[in-house]
Amino acid sequence: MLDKLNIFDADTNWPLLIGMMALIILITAGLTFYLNLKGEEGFKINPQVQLVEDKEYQITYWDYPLFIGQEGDYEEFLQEAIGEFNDMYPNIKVNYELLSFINGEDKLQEKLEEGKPPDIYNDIFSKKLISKELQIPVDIFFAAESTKERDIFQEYNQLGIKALSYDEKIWGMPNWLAPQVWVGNRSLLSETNLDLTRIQEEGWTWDTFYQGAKQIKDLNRKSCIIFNPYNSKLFYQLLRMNGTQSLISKEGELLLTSQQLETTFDFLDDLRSHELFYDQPEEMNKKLLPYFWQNRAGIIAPVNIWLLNNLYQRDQKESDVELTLMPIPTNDPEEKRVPLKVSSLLLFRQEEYKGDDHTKAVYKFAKFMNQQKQLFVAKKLNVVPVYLSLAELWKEETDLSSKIKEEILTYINRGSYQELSGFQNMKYEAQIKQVIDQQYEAFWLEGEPITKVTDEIMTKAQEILNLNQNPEKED
Amino acid sequence: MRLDRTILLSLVFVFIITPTLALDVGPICDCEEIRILSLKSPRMTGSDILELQKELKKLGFYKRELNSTYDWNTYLAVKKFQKANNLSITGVVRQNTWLNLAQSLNKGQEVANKKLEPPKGEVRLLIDAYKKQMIVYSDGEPYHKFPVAVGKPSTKSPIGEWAIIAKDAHWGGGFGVRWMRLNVPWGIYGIHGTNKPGSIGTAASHGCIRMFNRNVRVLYNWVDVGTRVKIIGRRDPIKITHTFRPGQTGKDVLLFQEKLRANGFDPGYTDGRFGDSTKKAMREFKYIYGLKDDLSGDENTFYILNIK
Repeated sequence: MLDKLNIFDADTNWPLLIGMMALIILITAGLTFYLNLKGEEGFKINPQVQLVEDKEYQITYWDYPLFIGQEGDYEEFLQEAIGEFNDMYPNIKVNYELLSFINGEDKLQEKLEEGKPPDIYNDIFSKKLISKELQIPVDIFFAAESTKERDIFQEYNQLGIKALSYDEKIWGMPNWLAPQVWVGNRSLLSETNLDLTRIQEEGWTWDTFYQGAKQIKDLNRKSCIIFNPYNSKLFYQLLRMNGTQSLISKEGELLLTSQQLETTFDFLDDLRSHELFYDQPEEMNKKLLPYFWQNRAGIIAPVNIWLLNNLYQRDQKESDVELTLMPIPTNDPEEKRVPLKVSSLLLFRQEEYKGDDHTKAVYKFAKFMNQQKQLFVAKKLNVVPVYLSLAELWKEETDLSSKIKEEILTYINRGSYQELSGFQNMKYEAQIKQVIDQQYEAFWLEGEPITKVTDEIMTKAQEILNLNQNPEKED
Repeated sequence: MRLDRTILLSLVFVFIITPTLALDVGPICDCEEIRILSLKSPRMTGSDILELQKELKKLGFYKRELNSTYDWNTYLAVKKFQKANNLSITGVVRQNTWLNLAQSLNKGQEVANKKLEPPKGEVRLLIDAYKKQMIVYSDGEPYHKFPVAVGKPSTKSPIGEWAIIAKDAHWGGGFGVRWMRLNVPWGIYGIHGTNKPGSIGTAASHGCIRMFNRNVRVLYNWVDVGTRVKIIGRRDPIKITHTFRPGQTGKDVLLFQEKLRANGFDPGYTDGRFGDSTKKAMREFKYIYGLKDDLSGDENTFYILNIK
């Protein structure tokens, strides 16, 4: 029986067998080496490639209906822009799609998983690093277009460029910058001892904010501070001003600490326990705008650009209340910088690569939108273009009051960006943020103790990183 | 056995539901039934008498102030009209007098003899209360126009985007023929024929859309339950006094939907119902403005939409 199983009998041609095995090993090793080398080299594009004159390029552009709540139709603007672009490049056909604000990011993710993302995506939510495999860095095109006389990189506000830099590449074309601010009621704040000009020029500490909030509360029975407990954006702003620049390091380690969490929650809890907020914190969100426009709220937060624009519009009509933009207070007295939000155009290729000339056509349209059309968008949204020549025009042409304009520009000048820590880390950060969001709500609405919510966040955050054992070490 | 039971249950269900449906499409409408008008003590009053006085005045038979009262002057004017038109001179206004009034006002000649082909595309109706006109659209293109009567200033037609929810071919009585009910949540409104054709082209109804009987017969065959009907025109000011929640209905909800739409959100049809489409619009709204709490139309929402 055993004899039957013996495959190596006396007739075995040993030299041939050994030779064949050696050949297989050699081929496998060769292939592995080649594929590794290719992988290391990564995807490469020749930025000098020329468009083929008589070829029609079909490119896809995904955007959002940005002028929501404002006069004017974004789709019309987009159609006109594409028409203008086609006057220069009649063979590049732009197929645009306006996404739902809620589902747009999920839709992009789905398409990325299928290997069929759009060529260009307007990253208004500032996610920046979305796909390591399919996202195309733009610095190769900038470099190819730069000359001794003209450095394309220098034509942008460097904050915007740095905010999109990772692994020595620039991962998008920065469109506009918006400082992250809270909104103050100038007349109520002026009744306190706060030195508004100084705060706006140099920032303020959590303690100064606390003292100011206390004075606002003491102004009359109804005056207070309003934070929306349902929007965790405020917590991330405070965390950042408490030293948490990123949740995860480039090496994939958790940067968030229990102490940072606890002190940030403590700051909010101090304000709450001293009743400096609206009487019922669980109903506080409902009072955000009514209290502001009824001259009762000294500070409201958080506010995003759409809410801010709505406030600007109303501010021009209201005579009783004057809004002012306040920097986010910090726990570090030395910290004077203002966090910025950067929106950009991200370029993608598809798994089935359409060729360097197609990518060049994509770049041409992205560049057109970025360097020629963002002034109109920035004026509408009251954000500052990153492309410097447009930023100069914005200063002259914006409809904002001179005070607000000055405040925005001051904050941009003191702006800071969040350093990128890697594609994979962005995904883990998103997961950790879901945990923080839940605990933040539990803190406000269920009265969970700080130690409990902090422990919960730290444990689950570590679990997320442990589960993905070897988080990206892309360096 | 199980099949028998199913059939039996179905029959019971049909038996129960049929009277309910019949009630739903029945002749209940905010418009008044046609009355016989005459000189009585106490005097008869009402919007139909106002309508009568207006028509007599247009024809030069009534020269006094319009007072909605069937008084001595109205009685005399009716008699004069009846005499001039070879009718029995009774001073009593019945259907025949109404029809003759319409004819004298050149509203009696409808496009009756002209055979109209039904539209081939998807039908939608636009009722322009300013022009007292209905435009039938086929696949978005204007196909035909019908003159209509709309609600009078005190009982305006419901402005909004509606759908036909019931049809009744055997509807009649004093109202005229055919009935197509609209899904207005705050009252019973519809499109129907009239035995007072003189009112067509005016604002005379209690809010319903009146058509010439011959026209309404034609239209009836062109529309289905579900056909969209948009009514534009003046409306009374609407005050928003409370928070809106999913499931609520009313004129104020309709205004809220219009404001959402004007601000770039899609609440579906502006039909005064806080339904699924409005919920979707609110979800988007709260997300964009970073409010992220619930779907209610609350004070924050009112400030953003400039309702406050």
